[in-house]
Amino acid sequence: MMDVKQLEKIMSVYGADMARWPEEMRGPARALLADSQAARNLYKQAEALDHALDAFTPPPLPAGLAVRAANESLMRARTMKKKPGFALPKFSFGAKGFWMPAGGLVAVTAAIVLIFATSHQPKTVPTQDVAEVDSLVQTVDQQANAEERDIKDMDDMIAMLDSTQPSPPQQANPDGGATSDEMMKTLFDDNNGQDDDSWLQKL
Amino acid sequence: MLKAGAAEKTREETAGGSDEDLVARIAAGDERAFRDFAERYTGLIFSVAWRMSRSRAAAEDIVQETLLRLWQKAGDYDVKRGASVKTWLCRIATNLCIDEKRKGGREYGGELPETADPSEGAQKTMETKETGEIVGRVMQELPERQRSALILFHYEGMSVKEIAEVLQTTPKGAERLLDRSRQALRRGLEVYKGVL
Repeated sequence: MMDVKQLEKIMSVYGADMARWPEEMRGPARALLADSQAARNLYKQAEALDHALDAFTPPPLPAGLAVRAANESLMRARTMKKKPGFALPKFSFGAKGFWMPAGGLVAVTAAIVLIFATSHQPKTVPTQDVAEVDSLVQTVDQQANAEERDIKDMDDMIAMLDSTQPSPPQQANPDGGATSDEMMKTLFDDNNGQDDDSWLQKL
Repeated sequence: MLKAGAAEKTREETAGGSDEDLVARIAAGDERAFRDFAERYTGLIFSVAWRMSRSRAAAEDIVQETLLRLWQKAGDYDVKRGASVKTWLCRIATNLCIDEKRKGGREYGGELPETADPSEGAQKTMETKETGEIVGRVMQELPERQRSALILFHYEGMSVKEIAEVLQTTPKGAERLLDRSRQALRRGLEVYKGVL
C-alpha cells in the first residue's frame, strides 16, 4: 500500500502524468487517490505545476533554420580544415606527428619558464627572522666585549705584577720568592671568593 | 565506432534511413546525410536550447554549433554503447548550453519583458503567455543540470534512463535532479500566486 509521502515523492520526480510513472506504482497510487483527500490535494498541486510547465513554449522554429545551420556548419568545418593558423612545419612522426614535437616544445618552454621564475624570485627574508638574527648578533657582540674586558683586566694585572717584581718573570727568584707566574697561580688559587682587597695585601 | 563506408547509399535510403544510418553516412563525409539529419533534428535542438537559454539567437547558435560538432564527431558515435542518436545529440546540445551559460558570453533571457513586482501577480490571473514567461524565468534560476533534466523529461519526453545518459549520471541521479528541480520550481513559482 502506498502512503501519501510516497505519492508526493513520485510526483516530485515524474510529475502528475501517470503514463510517465513506473508501471508498478500506478495501481497503488490510484488506490491511494481514491481513498485519501490529502493525496488528491497533492495530486492537484502536481497537475498545476505540470500545466505551468506546459505554458513555457518555445517560439516557432525560424524558417529555414535547418538549412542555414547545416550550410554554416559545413562552411565552418571547411574553413577550420583549411585555416593556416596551425601551419607549423610538418613533422614525420606518423599519425601523431604534430603532437610529439609540440609536446616536447611545450615541455621545454615550461621548464625554461620555471627556471626563470625560480631564479628571479625576490629574496625576501621574513621580518621575524631578521629580528632573531639581530638579537643573536647583539648577544655575540656583548659576549665578545665581556671577554675583551676580561683580557684587558688580566693584562693590567700582569703589568702591575711585573712592575712590583722587576726580576725576569720566567726565572726562579734567587731570594726563594715566587715568580710572577707562581704568584699569579697563588693569587688565583687563594682568591677564591675573597674580597678584592685581600689579594692586594698578599702582594 | 561507426566506420566510413555507407556513403554510397542512395539519397532515398538516407532520407528514410535510421538515425544510426544517417550518422554513419555523416561519419563518411556525406553532406546530403548531414542535411537530412539537420532537417530531422533542428527542431529538437532548437527547443531544448531555447528553453535552456530563453534566447532565440542563442538557441540558433546552439543549433549550428551542435550540428558542427555532429559533423566533426560523427565517427565517435558508438551504437554499441546503447545511447540513441537522440540522447547523444541532446548531450551535445545540453553541454553546449551549459558551457555557454558558464562562460557568461551570452545574455540569457534578455528577450523577455521584465515583470513588475511579483506580488502584483497575486492580484490577477495570469494568462498562459505570462505564466510561460514566469516559468521560464524561474527555471533560469535552477542549476543547469536540474533545468536540463526537467526540460528533457517534461518537454522532450525522455525517460529517466535517457536523461541519465544525456547528463552522464545514474538513473537514480537523474531522478534526484528531477525531484530537486520540481521542488525548486514549485518554491520559485509560489511567489507568483496566479501560477500554481
